[in-house]
Parts: sequence; C-alpha cells; structure tokens
Amino acid sequence: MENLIKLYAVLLFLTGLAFAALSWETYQSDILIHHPRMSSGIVLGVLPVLFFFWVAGFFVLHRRHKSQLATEGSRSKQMEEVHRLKKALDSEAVERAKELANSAQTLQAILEACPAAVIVMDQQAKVEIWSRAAERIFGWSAEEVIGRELPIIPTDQREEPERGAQREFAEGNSPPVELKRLKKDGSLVDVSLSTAPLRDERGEVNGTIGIFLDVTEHKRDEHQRQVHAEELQGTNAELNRREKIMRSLLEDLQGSKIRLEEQSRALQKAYADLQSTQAELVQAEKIGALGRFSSGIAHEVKNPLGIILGGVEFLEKRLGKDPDTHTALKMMKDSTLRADSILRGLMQFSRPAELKKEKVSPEDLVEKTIAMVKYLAPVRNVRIQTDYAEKGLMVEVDKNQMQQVLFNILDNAIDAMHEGGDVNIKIFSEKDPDSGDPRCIILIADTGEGISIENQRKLFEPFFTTKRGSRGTGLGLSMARMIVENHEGRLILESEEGKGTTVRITLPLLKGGIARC
Amino acid sequence: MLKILLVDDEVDLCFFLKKNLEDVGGFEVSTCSDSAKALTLAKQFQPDLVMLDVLMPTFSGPEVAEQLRADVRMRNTPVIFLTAIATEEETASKMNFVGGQFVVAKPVQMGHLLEVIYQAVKSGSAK
Repeated sequence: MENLIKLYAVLLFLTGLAFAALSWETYQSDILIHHPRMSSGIVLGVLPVLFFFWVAGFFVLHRRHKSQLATEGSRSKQMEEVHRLKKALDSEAVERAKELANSAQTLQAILEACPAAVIVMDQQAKVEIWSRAAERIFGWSAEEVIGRELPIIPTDQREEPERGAQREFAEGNSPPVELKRLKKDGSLVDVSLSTAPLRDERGEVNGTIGIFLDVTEHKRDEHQRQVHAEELQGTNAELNRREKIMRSLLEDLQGSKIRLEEQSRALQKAYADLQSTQAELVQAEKIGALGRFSSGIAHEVKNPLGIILGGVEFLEKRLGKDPDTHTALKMMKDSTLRADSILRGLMQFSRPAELKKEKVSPEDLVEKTIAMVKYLAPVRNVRIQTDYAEKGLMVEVDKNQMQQVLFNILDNAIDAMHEGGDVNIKIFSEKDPDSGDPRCIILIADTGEGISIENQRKLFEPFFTTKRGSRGTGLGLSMARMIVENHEGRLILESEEGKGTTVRITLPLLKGGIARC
Repeated sequence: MLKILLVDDEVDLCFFLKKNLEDVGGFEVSTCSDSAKALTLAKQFQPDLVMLDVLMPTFSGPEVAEQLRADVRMRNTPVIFLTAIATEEETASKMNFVGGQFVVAKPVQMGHLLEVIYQAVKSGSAK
C-alpha cells in the first residue's frame, strides 16, 4: 500500500508536472490552440477533471493510506507486544529448559546416587531406565537392557515373561516384597522390590517404576541375627534351665533350711529335754545313792529301833498300869514308830515297793483323799472344789500309793493357806504331746502363799521341808513324784509366790477306759 | 506251850522279844545270837517255830533255814524271817509271805508278830 501510494504520488507529481508543462507551453506558444489533433478547450476542460480525479484519487489513496498506516501502527504495536511476549516466552522456555535440564540432572544424579536399583519399564514391558545401581546389583549395563525385556527374572519364572514382568511391576503402589532375582553371572540376589505406576499428563499409566534394594547383606545380617537369636534362645533356654535348677536348688535349700530349723528346734528341745533329763538323772542318781545309803542306815537303825520298840512294849506290859507311865511309854512307842516310818520312806528310794495296780476311777481316788482331810479343811477355812468335767475316766494305779500322793499334795495345799482359801481339783483327759497317748490329768490348785523359786528347786529333794517342828519329814513330795513316776506318770509343780501353787499329775489313761481326747 | 527259837545277832533285841513273846503270847522262847550255833540249839530245843533274822554274821537267816530243813525232824518247822531290809509296807502287801517265806519287817510290833506266828503255825500244822 505504501509503495502504491508512493507510486501514486510519483504518478501524480509526473502528471502534475506534465500538466504544468503543457499549461506553460500553451500559455507561452498556444500550442494547444494550434495543435491540429486537439483543441485547447478540450485540453483545458479535460485536464483539470483529470487532475481533479488524480488529486481526489490521491487524497482518497492518501487517506486510505493514512488509515492503513494507523492500522499498521497498531498492528506493529501488537506485533511488538507479540514479540515481547515471544521473547519473554523464549526466555521462560530457556529458563524452563534449564530447570528441566537441572531437574534431569538432579534426577540423573539421584538415579546415580541411589543405592537401590531404579528400573523403569514402558507399557510394553521394555526397560526404559536402568540406573547405575541396577548395573551394579544385576550386572547388566544400561546399554545391554534398555529397550529389552527385563532380564532379571529367574529362569523358572520366565515361562510367561510378560506376566512375570507384570508381576514384577504390578499396577499401583505396592508394599516392598522380598524376592530372589537373577544376576548377569547367573547367580541369584536377594532384593526388596517396591513398585509404583508412572502416569502421563492425562493420568493414564504409561509405565512402571521398580526400585530394587539389595538385601543380601540385610538377609545375611538377618540370618546372623536369627542365628544369634537362636543362639540367644538356646542360651536363654539354658539360662532358664539353670535358673530352674537354681530355683529348685533354692527350694531344696529353703526346704533344707526349714528342715534344719526344725531339726535345730528339735535338737534344742532334745537338748533341753536332755538337760532336764540329765538334771533328773543326777537327781535320781543322788536320790538313788541316798536311797542306798539310807537303806544301809535304815537297816542299822531299824535294829536299835526294834530294841527300843521291844523294850517299850516290854515295859508297857510290866509298868503300864500307872497312867503317866503308860502315857510316857505310848509317846516313846509313837516316836519310835515315827522314826521307823521315816526309815521306811528312805528305803523306798532304793527299792520302790511293788505296785498293786487296780482299775480305779481318778474321781474315786480324789474323793477318798478329800474324805481324809474333810475334818481338817473346814478348821483351816479351806474350801475344796472339784470339777470332774469328763465322766468315766479310768486309770490303773496302786490305790494306796496314789492316795498317799494325793493326800500329800492336798495336805501341802491346806498347809499353804494359813488364812484359808480354795483348793480346786480338776480331772480331765488329753493327748500326750509327745506320744499322742491318752492321759488322765489331775490338777490340784490352791490359792495359798505359793513357793519361792529358790524353794521350788529343792522341793523334790528328800528331807527338804518348810514345815517347822515335827510336821514334815521332807519326804512327802519327793515320794509323791517317785510314786507317780513308778506309774509311768508325771508330777509337775507350778507355783507363784502370793498366788498359789498348782500340781499337775499326769497318768496313763486306761485303754479300756473312756478316752475323750 | 508253843516253843519258839529266835535267832538274831542283836542280843538286846533277842532279850526284849523273848520277854514280850513270853509275856504276851505265853510262848516258851529260846534265843540264839550266834547263827553258827543256831542249828545245834535247834536240834536240842526242837522248836515248833523258828524266827530268823535275815542279815547275820557267819550264816544269814536263809542259810540257817536251809540247815534246819536238812534235818528230817525240822523239815516242816515253820520259819518266820525278821528283817530290817524289807519295810512293813512291802511285807504287809504280800501278807508277810515273801518267796514262800513268812517275813516280818523290823522293828517288830508284837501285835503284828503274833498274827504272823498264828498264820505260820497254822500253815505248819497243815503240812
């Protein structure tokens, strides 16, 4: 257009020039009028119209040219904008390309650095990417495998290579699985495989990425761990076994300890018993010796006593008519007999009289003994109470001797209560703690003055007496104990000064008798 | 009259026993304080009953009794042993008849002795 306008302007200028030249010629020489082929009027009439049209055309063209120029100006602005944008885009693209290159490099670096083998498969199950680690782990170089089928699936799984590959690169993310995969040298390698699908911009799966981690070391470690664990288990089991043994040993030890303690207790008891037995033995030996000694004395004394008694009886016969003489002789005879009774008591230590055992009820024995003191007790303001909780108990004893024992104890009890008091007698049965045999117990308790500990030690010694004057021989309790022991029984005395004394007589309960234990 | 031979080394005892037996029982009593002479005396005296102390020098009472039994005439003569070894309780509990023998514990009380003499004579006459 611009060129057209230029052309038009040149043509207009040339036309104008031609018109001016013609006009100038006409005017100068009147050519036109004298020109044969044209009249000057026509020339003068046509030429302005032509000129007009030329000018009008020029203006029209010029205007059009101007509008065209304006349009072209805006277009060039647009073009500039487009250029700018293009430039910007280009720089952006360069930038992106750089970034992309960087990313690619980063990715490449990651692929290079990643210790796990990264393998990308396309949809046709052909290898697309084969990382450095893949080369290292499986032995094949990237050039050898890219574009080919995955070579790492063991031969026995290759029957359906596609399926194998699909199995290898299952769709979707899958948790790591442990597999054995083939190496180039034909050996197998333990790998842990994780897969993920690759998608295009439309989100459609166009490949799969598989990451293979060499777990040979891990497996070996695991194996070793397992071995260690087994060893540990073995050790643990051994330890458990030893612990069990130790525990059982400990239990045994504890058992032994308990047994030892029991034995120790038993020993202590035995020792105590032994001591007491020894003391009793010493006492018995003393008494025995004393008995033998007494027996000797008794024999020697008995003869003179016999002479005195014979003499007294002779005099009684001859001089007894005088009352005073008779009384004097009677006193002499009584004293002689009392001396004799002491001797008899002494002699019993060396030779316990033979027992004339018979079945009796302990209640009867007690009752008969009580009858012997029934006139004495009220005088001393002593009440005798009995408690025969168990009826029908029977013992086999020498009635006279046992009554002598009971009388002795009862007499002592009454003597111990100068101000009066109570004597409580109980009869019951119980099992012997040692032998378990049934025993009959006779308890005689008084509320008297009691016996001092010092005197308690001497109580059973012959001739020990606290009874002043002629009342005591000092043989009563020791004889009582001896008699009870001759009956395979026991006589124990417990006393507290100011509170009273309790005598406990234990006798074997007759087997035919009722034994409610 | 019942003739009693009393053999005991205690001379004084023999004296009083003799007196008492004569006074109380009205017996004819001969005493001997030497056991060695007892047999000879017995043969002369021919007692109806012999009383022997058990423990005596030379011969004990049982030995004297043995000697007496060796004599046909005194084989069945009852013997009473007098002893200070046994107590009255012991002898009494056996009715004064210990080991086939009549035994009386010393010191002898007349009343008691008379009873045993009666029993012994009765048993002797039964033989």
